[in-house]
Amino acid sequence: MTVVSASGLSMRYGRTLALADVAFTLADGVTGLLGPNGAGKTTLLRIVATALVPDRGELTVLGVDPRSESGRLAVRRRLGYLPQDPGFHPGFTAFEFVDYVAILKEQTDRRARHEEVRRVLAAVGLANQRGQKIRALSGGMRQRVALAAALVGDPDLLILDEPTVGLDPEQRLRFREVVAELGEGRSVLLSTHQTEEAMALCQRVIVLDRGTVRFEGAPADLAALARGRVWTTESRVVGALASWRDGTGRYRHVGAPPPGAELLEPTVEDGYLLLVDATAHQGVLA
Amino acid sequence: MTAAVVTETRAGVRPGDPRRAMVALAKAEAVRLLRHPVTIAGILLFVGTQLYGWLSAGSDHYPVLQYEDWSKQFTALLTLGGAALVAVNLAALRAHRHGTTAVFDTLVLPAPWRAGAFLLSVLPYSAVVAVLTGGRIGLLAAVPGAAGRPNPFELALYPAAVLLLGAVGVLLARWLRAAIVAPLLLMGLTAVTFAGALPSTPGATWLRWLLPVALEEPPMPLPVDLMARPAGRHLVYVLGLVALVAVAVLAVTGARGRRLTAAGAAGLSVAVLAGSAQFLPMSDAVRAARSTAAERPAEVQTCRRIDQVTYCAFDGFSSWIGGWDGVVRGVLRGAPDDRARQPLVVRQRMSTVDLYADGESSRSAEQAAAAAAAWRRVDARAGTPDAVTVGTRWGDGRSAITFAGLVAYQVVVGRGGPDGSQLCGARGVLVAWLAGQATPTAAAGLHEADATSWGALPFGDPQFPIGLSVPDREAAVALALLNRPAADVAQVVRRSWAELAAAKTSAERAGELFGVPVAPLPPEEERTVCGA
Repeated sequence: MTVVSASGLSMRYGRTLALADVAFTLADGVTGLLGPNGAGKTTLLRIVATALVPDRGELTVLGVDPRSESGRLAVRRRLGYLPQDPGFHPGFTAFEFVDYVAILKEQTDRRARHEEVRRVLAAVGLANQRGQKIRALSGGMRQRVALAAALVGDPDLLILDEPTVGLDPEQRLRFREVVAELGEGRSVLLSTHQTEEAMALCQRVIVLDRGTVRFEGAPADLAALARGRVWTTESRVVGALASWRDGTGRYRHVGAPPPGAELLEPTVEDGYLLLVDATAHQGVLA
Repeated sequence: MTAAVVTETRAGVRPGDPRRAMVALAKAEAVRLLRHPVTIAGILLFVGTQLYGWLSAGSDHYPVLQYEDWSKQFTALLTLGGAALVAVNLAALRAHRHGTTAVFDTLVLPAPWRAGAFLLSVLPYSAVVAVLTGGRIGLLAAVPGAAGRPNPFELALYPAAVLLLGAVGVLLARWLRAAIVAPLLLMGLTAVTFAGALPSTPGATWLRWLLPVALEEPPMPLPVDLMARPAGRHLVYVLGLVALVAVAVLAVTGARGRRLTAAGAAGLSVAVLAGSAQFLPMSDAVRAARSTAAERPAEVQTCRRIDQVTYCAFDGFSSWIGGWDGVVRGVLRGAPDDRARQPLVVRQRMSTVDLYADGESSRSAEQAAAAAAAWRRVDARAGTPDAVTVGTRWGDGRSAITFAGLVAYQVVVGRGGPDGSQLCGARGVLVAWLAGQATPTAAAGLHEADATSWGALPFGDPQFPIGLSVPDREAAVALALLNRPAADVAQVVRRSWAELAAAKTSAERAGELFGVPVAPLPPEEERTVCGA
């Protein structure tokens, strides 16, 4: 079932073109949105989350056009959104914050709402911390509070904008576990920098670069783009798109391999690197 | 951590309608507002000032309810209203301040309903303010010495002003996204309110009634029927402003529609009409009643006799007669029996003319003498010549010593209505001592007057033409006598009454009789004219 359908989406901030003729579809399950900084990921997510209206293009979210007021409200009623920097009211307890969000989601029955708040806090593993002030929670816990707020009302579409940024590996794994569960029976659009996260969680990935969609498909297909273009050597070589020394002490190269090179099985990361302009992202590859 | 719960209860909770969500949000915000440190501080400050007034044993023990009902409006505006302004503003700015707008902008409840919730959240706090201020008046009304009755419109202005400031707090948050603006506005409002209270401010009368509360200090409390504050019209004016600000908030957040336009037009009309109506001139009936009460009080007073003393009070003030009688008995206790048994009349007086507001610091001696003579003529016509004057403030040291001084003057000199002149010589010593020893409150008032006056101790309300003063030289003797056992001094007073009460007996002679040294006379050019 198509949850989001976009075509020709364009968005401009002054002279900067954030999105250029973007088209994609979103179905049930977890879809990863990959792309370098400034690729337009957050803009695209905010458009789908109804926080922004695109300058041009067609968009249907959950079968509704969100450009009208009534359409926007209809989408919001079935939407959960966790922005990149969600912000918190430090003086609120975790329960109060999520309850506040639940009210803004028009959940008016107090008893049912509180039950729902307890449910989502339990779902993100914060049942025992619900009475703690947010200022007293760790970064990972705060992020889970924000996720719990996004889950209120059991949304059909969940939009997560780089939810694991700033989390330690353990917190990231726990978060990943939750998101994986959430992807069952609903649509999750997950923006991330981390290709291993996309590989671990996503049934589909969209690669966005400089405001345009460069790839849309299964993670395995993204990896397959690099088939025959990843090789290994004992020493650094010149001319590869990207090279780095891996844990075995050997060099892994992405690019056009020399004749007779020892080819490796490509990963999603390799495919991603080939897609985006490597020279523009040398910092990432170093 | 497990996500099992998520999939178990997919039934979820279906969204309700925005009206109910607004009410739910308003409830949540109302609780937060009531728990906010600024709100609690505002309430504590207001309650603290009232408790201080109560515990300091001042005039709060003899409250005039038609004065008390509005006299704390400015304090309430600063503390309770200021708290509403700042705390509601902070709440409305919360999402901006804490960076949650990215999430909140994608939530269902539309912005005008959220703004409506912030407006509604002030209602419970306003109810608390109504309970606080109403409770305060209720407590004051329960005091045995309470006089008059409160005006419900004045009482309703407290929560209405809080509502207005709360609504302004929401509006500010929509216009200017900085938390500093609300405190600055409160400071500005305070300054303008003070400016409106100053008679020298151009258009002060207009200015003060266009503000949420009118800081208007009359020369003294008036009987209920003589009150001319446009309390009802001002309340309606403030409520009109509340409606207007609320409509502005909703409009700024994107609400549109005929009903909103109609509400805005209604609020504007009410504010303009009621605001203008505040400046209607005082009715002829009230003007005539004021004139009668000020010039011929006997026509509207009820008198009550206790032994040989007759007390005449305005309607609503008879509860003070016990307090007055305590002072009169205290003065008479120091006088010889034959003087103490003389009939005495105490008449309450009031003034509607504020000499200070009229830009004069005092009457000229000639004006005071003429006015005092007029009062004496009126009293004589009413069959109560030489009546002792008492005002419409009671309970503090100043009012007690003023009244005690006038009673003592009547007992010593044998006539009432001194016209403000200085009472020198032994008479001055005697009057000051009789007044000071009357009650502990009067003694405190005498010391207070001594600490704040220069040249002579005043006994009289500056708004009245009646009064006297005792030069420091004579007052010093009386103050020294107050440090001695009253019975010992009274013995000398009774024994030497005729000499002490004689107009020609000097302060030096009084000092001799009491064994108290008297300061030498000041140089000729520094001496004041004695004449009371």
